[in-house]
Parts: sequence; structure tokens; C-alpha cells
Amino acid sequence: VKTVALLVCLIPLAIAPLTAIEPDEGARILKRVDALRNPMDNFSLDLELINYRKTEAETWRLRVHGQGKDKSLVEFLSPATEKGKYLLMLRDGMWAYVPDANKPIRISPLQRLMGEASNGDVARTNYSADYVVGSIAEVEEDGKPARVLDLKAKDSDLSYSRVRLWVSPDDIPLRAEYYVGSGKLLKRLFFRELGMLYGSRMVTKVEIIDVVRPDRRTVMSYSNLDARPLPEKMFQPGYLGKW
Amino acid sequence: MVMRRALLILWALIAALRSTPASGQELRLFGQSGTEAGFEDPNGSSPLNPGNILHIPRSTDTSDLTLFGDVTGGGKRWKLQMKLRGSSDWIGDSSYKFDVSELTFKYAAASWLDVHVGREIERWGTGYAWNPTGVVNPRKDPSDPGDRRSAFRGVDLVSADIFVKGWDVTLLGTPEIAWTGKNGRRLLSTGWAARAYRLIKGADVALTASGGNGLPNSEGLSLARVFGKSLELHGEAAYISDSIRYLPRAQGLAPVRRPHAEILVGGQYTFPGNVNVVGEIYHSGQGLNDRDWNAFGGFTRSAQQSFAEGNPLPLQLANTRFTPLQMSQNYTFLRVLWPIRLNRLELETIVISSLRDGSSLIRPGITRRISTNWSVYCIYSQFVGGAGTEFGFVQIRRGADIGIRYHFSLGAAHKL
Repeated sequence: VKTVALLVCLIPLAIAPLTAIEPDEGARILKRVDALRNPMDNFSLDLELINYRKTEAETWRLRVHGQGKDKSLVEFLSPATEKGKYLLMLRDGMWAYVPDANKPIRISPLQRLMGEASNGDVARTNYSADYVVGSIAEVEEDGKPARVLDLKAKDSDLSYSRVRLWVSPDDIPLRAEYYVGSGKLLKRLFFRELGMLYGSRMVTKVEIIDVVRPDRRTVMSYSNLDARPLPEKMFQPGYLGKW
Repeated sequence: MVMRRALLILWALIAALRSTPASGQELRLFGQSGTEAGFEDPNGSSPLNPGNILHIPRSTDTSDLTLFGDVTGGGKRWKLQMKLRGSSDWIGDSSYKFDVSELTFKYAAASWLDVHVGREIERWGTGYAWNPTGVVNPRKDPSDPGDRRSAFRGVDLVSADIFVKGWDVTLLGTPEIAWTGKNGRRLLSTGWAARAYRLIKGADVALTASGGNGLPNSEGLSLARVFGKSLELHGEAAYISDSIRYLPRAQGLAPVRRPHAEILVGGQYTFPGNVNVVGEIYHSGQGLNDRDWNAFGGFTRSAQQSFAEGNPLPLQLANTRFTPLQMSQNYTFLRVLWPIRLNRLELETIVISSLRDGSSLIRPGITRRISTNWSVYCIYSQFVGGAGTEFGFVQIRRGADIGIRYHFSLGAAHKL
């Protein structure tokens, strides 16, 4: 019975036409999707996270600063217990800063996944830099034509080894699924809103659903995008908490 | 005096806010307040406290209020940062204290140069419980590495942070100034410290040095690196050439010059389910070796005899010179953090052991966050060790701390 059920589940995949991957087609789509999610090289923006857990809702406010493709600094503004904390993520490592401890602490990717940063991780994924397109399939999404891209992580250290990304025919991201190395689906992400920030069209609201604990979901809203250049020292671990 | 100083600080803050009426300034104020009840069981079998001659109270109360604040100038060219702390202790009698833990003016002189003047908490090193390279760090209690009551205090300093080609070089001058008292505003000593930090192939690497008559003469190295998704390894080593230790000698406890090395290696691993384990081994050549420890035991026994004969001074001296976690040369530290409910309920257990005699401090604690602002906790401490061991000498046998903390934020960041 299980085998039959599995085969039935696989039918939609089997009949979904897999397009031959043209060398630049997948990369081109990812670049356009990334441009809608993070249009600036140097930016600061406000991020509001509302965590829904059964009947409870908790709001976190963060200020996110980014530089280039692989440097980001998250400043925790609220709740009060988190205020003054920072999380620095570089390609070479991650550091957390807590005002009481008063020093940057080196943390491992799994520690980062302990807090709300795990959702930040999902939201800030740089598809072009971190993933390659394995296949592209034509599908229907809510009765409309769409494409699903199967992405494989370039680096085994990435939190999610596989991502399935649904995009509209004009390359607007619709939703994504995040898988860990074991093949287990952990998070589903829905791109809920597009808007104009700092003169650029970009995704302004996403919703993340925890597949393992389905009673948990997070809504993330972006605002106050600012594209001023940021000093290089801001992304130095030793600088954390000093400004 | 306390009120006058508090008002002075507030005045300085307001003056700074008003001095530059340019737009783009930003003010942040946040902090925490808490109260804690402590219950202690005196160790009447400790050679330092026979029959509780020290009259250690069975219960204590402490309350504290810490306010973090900063004002940042437009374009982040300057920043005034402060940490003010008021506390009251009730140990048989009440006492109050107000402290300027940090008050620093920071100026970005160039994109590669920041200058700091004032009092600031610096934390060097990668160790969790001990920091051999942390020559300017506030004194850390390994059994409370997170400083739950936010009691750390900074050092008076003038510093320059230089960011060049991936290096972060910090140069510090630390004048020790007596701010209060009859001879207030007097320079007591001066010291200097330097640290060069760089991220090399994913590893945090920092070289440190310090000297002068206010800081130890030392050279050190600290490292940290993450391997895979769960493992972090770190280490520190320092050589301190001018430290002094009071050791038992024929004439009693005498200061002895003790150049020594301190080495720490450790790591942490995060298991699925978010259980985080930190383990460290620490060696300090300043600690007492077997001969010194036996001599200290002998000194304490003779001090007890003097006490019985009506002379309490030697036993008082022995108590003064007994510093737990510095009476041996080798220790281990283990911390297990189990978030039973993420951001809601967590269980933390710390075990610190002396490798000389196996005596230990075991400290399990539970913290419950009851809302976004309020949390309650209970920490139990048990000293385990037979007669003649380091933790057997500790003047209390066990204790418990029950506390409640409130975290507050005085509004969002205000644009001025």
C-alpha cells in the first residue's frame, strides 16, 4: 500500500515536463529572484518578525545591514530581552554579541539555528551565490503556469542542502521549500507581497512555515530600506557592539 | 555623593544630546532590573570556617538596576555609550551602591580609525569560563560566565581601534584613577595593552600584549574556529612575567614573584534538539602546586590553633588568601544548556572541578521566561569535596539563588 501511495505521489513529478537546463537559464532566473529579494549591495532595512506559536504571537524587530553577497549584520531592537544583541554572518563564520557578555562569541551554524535567526537564514538565502540549478520543471501553481527550480547547495556547510523554488513565468518568486542533508523538508517559505522600497521593486513580506512543528509560522515584513554605503569595519567581528 | 554622581552622569548625557543640534542623532535606552534571594548553608567543617565562626548569614537579598544607553551622532561619527548600575544588598544590614560601569565617548576619526575615551568594558579572549589573554577584562566568575546580574565594570582607558587590510588592531592606555576618597582624582597607575585580531582561513586569531605598572606584563595568543555545523574549538595561551602570589612561607603568607603561563583549550558542540555543551580545560601556573597547597593547609591548621588561643588574625588572613578556582593549577569546566522550550524554559548545569583532588562545584539552574520582559530563575550550588580538598575548604556547603528579572526598553531608538 505504501509503495502504491508513493507511486501516486510521484505521478505529478513524473508528468511535470522537465526542461533541459540551458547553461544560463537557471542562473538568470536566480539572479532576477535575488534582485527582487535583495536589490542593493549595501543596504540597511527594518525587519519585523511575528512568530505565531499555537495561539501565541510574539513580535521581534530587527535592523539588518548588508554588504555585498555574503556579509550581513543583524541588530536586535526588540523584545527588550534581545535589545542590544547583534548577529554577524560572514562567509567565513558567524559571531553573536550580547551586551552583558560584551564580546563577540564565535558560534556554529547549528547554534545560529537555535533562535529566530533560523528564519532569518531562510529569508536571507542568496540563491545565486549559494546554489546551482539542478533542474527546471514547468508546473501549475494555483491554476497558473509556473516553474519549479531544484537547487543544490554549492557548499556542504550550508544549513539547507536543497531548495525547491517556485517562480512565475516573469521570474517572481512564489514559494520555496528548504531541505536538510538527510532529505528532510524543514521549512516552507511563501513570498506574500511585492512592494517598492527605496525606489526598487522587492519582496516586502514573506511567511515561513515550520514543517516539523506545523503550529509554528513566522511572518517577516521589510521596511525602511536605506542604500547608504556601509563602512567595511562594521562587518569586523571585533567591531561588534562598539557602535 | 551617590545621587550627585548619578545626576552628573545624566547631566553629561543630556548635555551631549543638546550640544550638537544636528539631525540624525539617535538615542537608545534599555536595561534590566532584578531581585534575587540567596540561601546559604555554611560549611562548618571547612578548615576556614570551623563551626561557622565567620557567621555566614543563611539568607541574603540583592536587587539591581542596570541601564544601558547610547547616543549616536549623525552618520555614526561619534557615540556616547554608558552602562549605569545601582544595586542594594541586604546581608543582615542594607547597603546601596551606584556605579558607572561604562561611560565612553567614541569618535570615528577616519574610516579605519576609532578613538575611545572613558570607561569601557573590554573582553578579550575566546574562552568561556576563563580568559588567559583577557588582561583588561572584568574579573569573571566561571560559575556565572554570563554575568546574569550585569555586574561587570569597565576600565578607564584611552584607546584606538585601527582597521587595516583585514586586521583589527586595538591599542589601549589604562590610567587607573582614584575618582573618590580624600585623595580623589589621583593617578594610581598606568598600563598599556594591545591586541591584533584577524580572521585567517575561518579562524579567529588574536595576538595580545600588555605592560606598565597597572596591567600585567604579558604576551598571549587566542584562537577559535568552527568545524562543520556543530563544533567550535577554541584556545588561549598567555605568559605573565610579573605576577605576585601570596604563598605560605616560614613567616606566614608572603608575596612571592610568580612568572607563569596560563593555557586554556575548549570547545562547544550543539546537538540536535539545541542542547549545547561547552567543555574547557584550564591550566594556570599561578595556582598552587601540591607543595604550596599542603603548606596552605598547614598554615590554616596553625591559624585555627591561634584562633582557639584568642588570636583571630591568622585565620582571617587565611580566609582572605583563599580564592576558590585559584588554589589549584588545573581545572575543568563543563556546561550543558538544554532549552526545554526554546526562548521559554531552559535548564543549565555547570560543573567545575579541580583536577588535583576532584573536588567540584555543581550548579544546576532553571530559567523560565514568563513573558517578553519577565523571567524567573532558580540556581542551586553544591560544593563537593572531602576534607583537605579545594572545594571542601569553601566556607559554604551549598546555596540556592532565586531571582526574578525584568528587561525593559525605553521606547524604540529615538531620532533626535
